[in-house]
Amino acid sequence: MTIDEINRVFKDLKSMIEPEAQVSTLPPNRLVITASIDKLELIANLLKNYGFDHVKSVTATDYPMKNVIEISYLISSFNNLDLSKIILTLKILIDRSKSTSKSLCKVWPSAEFLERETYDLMGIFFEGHPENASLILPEDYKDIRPLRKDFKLTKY
Amino acid sequence: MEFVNLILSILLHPSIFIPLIFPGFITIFVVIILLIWAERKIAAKIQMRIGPLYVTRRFGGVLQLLADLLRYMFAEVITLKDSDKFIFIASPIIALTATLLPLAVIPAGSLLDIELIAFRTNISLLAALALSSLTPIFIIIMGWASNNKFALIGGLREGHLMISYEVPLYLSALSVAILYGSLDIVDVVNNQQRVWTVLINPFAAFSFFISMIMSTSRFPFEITESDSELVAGPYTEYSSILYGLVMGVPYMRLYVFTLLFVDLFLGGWHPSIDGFSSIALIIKVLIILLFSVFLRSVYPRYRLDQAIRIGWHTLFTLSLISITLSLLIIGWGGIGGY
Amino acid sequence: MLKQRNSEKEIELFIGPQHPASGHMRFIGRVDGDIFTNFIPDPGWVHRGIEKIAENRKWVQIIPLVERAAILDAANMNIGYVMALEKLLDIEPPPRAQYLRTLLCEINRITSHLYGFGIAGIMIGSSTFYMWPFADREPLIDIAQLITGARLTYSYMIPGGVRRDLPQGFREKVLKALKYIERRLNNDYFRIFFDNPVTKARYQGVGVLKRNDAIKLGIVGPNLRASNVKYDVRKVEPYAAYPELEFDVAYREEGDCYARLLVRVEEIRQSIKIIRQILDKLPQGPIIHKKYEKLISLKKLEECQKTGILGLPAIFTALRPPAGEVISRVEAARGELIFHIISTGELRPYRLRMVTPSFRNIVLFRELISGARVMDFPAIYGSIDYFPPESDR
Repeated sequence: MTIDEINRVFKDLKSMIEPEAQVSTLPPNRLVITASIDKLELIANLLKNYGFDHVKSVTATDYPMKNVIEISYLISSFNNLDLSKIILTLKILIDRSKSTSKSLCKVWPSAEFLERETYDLMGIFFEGHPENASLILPEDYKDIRPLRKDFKLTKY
Repeated sequence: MEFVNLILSILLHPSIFIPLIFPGFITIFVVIILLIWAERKIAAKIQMRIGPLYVTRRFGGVLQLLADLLRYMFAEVITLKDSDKFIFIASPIIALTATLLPLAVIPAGSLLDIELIAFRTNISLLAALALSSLTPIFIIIMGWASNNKFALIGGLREGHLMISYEVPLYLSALSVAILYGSLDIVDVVNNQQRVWTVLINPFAAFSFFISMIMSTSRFPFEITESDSELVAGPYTEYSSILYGLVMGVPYMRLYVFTLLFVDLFLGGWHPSIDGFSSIALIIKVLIILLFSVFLRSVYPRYRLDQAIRIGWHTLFTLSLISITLSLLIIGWGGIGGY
Repeated sequence: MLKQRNSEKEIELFIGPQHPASGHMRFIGRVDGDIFTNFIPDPGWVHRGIEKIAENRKWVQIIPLVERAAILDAANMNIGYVMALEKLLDIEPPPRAQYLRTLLCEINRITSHLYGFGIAGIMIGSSTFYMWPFADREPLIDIAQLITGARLTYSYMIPGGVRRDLPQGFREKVLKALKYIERRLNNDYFRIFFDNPVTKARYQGVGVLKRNDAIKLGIVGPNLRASNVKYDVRKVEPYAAYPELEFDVAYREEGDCYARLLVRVEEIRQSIKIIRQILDKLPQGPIIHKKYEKLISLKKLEECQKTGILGLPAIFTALRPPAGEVISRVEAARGELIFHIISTGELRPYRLRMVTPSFRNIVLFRELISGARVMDFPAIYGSIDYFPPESDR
């Protein structure tokens, strides 16, 4: 993917999305959009219309010091050959004590099991998700969710 | 001396010799041990491995099945708490007995100048087929008595298959009976002295053979006890000696049906040697048995609805064609010599 | 046992971990007669917590850890992680190391597909087609042992290069093994299984996945390519030695189980073509990056020249990549593998996220099997090539 092509997509996204959110680049060839949770669905729909049609990963990172959890959606395209070379990261920050977020299943059905796994291992409740149920852990798991930083491995 | 003569005269009486020694109980036992060993060995050779080897090492592991049976006999019989205990234990035993019943009317040539027919009647073909359709009923009962969902589904599959293969089986046998004008198997065999039935009416032979494969769970029709979806079908909950029995039932059915097949279509014990005609019969039976178990290494298994469709579209039509063929041959003046 | 719902009787089947054909996984299905009305996959029985453990391990210690996510495909997991690490460290391995990495990845792809064939065979009852592919993996595993010293879990790639060089007489052995696999694939496998009328009856028209559904659900790997989407990471974002190698992307249009298996057959053929090109084009040179070569003792380097074994240099235990966030993707045997690593400049990563292709394909169970017959379940399972340990990590 040449630098010019990435720059073109960068400019397109910038004109489409700002000022709702911020677009930046993560060298050498990744794009990042940072948004707030209210504008999430709006931006997701804009991206879907632009041509990004599936979610590759939902990564949730715990920052206990700043009391936030950062959720990144890695988005790309299968249909559009130019866009399939880009992985776009859509980041939002949510409050660690409340741990709820909005689900993007209606926009991208491929996010369903990924969000469910994030609920299971990180404890984030996705509003609008068809089934916030445990996937990997036992159904009656009551302890701290494993991927949080205050879960110590030596206990298990 | 008198005592030995007495014992020998009892043993060699046809009513005792046939069900007990040949082609009855002891022969079946030996045949099954060799057959299952042959099946595993053939599959192993095709699949680039060795198969049973350790039990009697010099003979290539021939008595492996005997070792398995001995192990089964000493294992604990586990009966389920929620199952219908009496029927759970009784149905494999009754199924085994029902499988062996047709041997009373199937002739098997002559050995040591004894005519090997236990019970001569003039409707022996009908009796053999009717007695052979008792076993699937008990398999369905086994599926229900286990109180296990997989067993239930397996039993129902046996029910579905039973309706599909019984009709072509009976119709093919009927076409042979029409051809020779008699329901007595001895007459049918005696009429094949010069030409075997398979050359006169190949459709009947084909549809009887495929129905036979379907009824005894040989690949590609091993649907009742398929272990991909159902753990072992209706036989799931059986352990130790009952497991040995239920695993032996399909093989015994195969043996009985093969005897019937060879008698009806492959000339029975002709070409016969005076007094020892069973030898030709045994050779033909072994060839057909080995072919039936060889199919395990070649075919995957059919889906249930595909097997039922084969039973009704292909086999049923073929058997109707074979009846028409028999009627035409009769109308044209019959077979010479009858 | 029987549930009465709206005067309809359905049986609820738990095809659980203790089942000859479920793998390490459980399925909950509702059967009405012969049709599954509802089918739910229930993974998580082999969850080993790789992502959490990785937060407590040094960077080099994670190399064996991520390999064991899917042992069959160890080289591809390895290269995904090492590529992400090298992006953080901002280095590129030398050309010879790139070619050696590609060689091992392609060998792994062939063995993984052969394993998939074996499972597909036994699922529909063909025990011959279960034993043959498993036996035919052996020549290739022997080749992998010649290169790396281990049969299945190699830990061959380290940041900056690879650990060992090729031994003597390597080229002839590889060509002989490839000829054997080609002969088996094109003659025997087709005659016993793919051209078998029973196989075709079980697989054709079963479990059809349409193109739009495949894209919408985010399916990856040969399952996606069998539904007429020509997406292969080796062409979209080429890595290792792939920019210089010629090969085609295998795809088919029907989207049923038979198409998925044939895509895998074609991929094995393409992998054989790639390995032959690698053997011809292999460049000479060092097997580890200059920056690290300088930090290894002279005596060790001389030993490496003679035997070809470099081992793991001790400097790596104190590796501290700069802070940053990096995403890397590779084409594993079952599909696209994503690594997302967040580093804060410590001895250990802050967050390691690994999305395996089997996890992204798990939704296919719900979509394809609901509404299908009971006996279609093993056929579809075998054709998706789902590997539960890879999915649960």
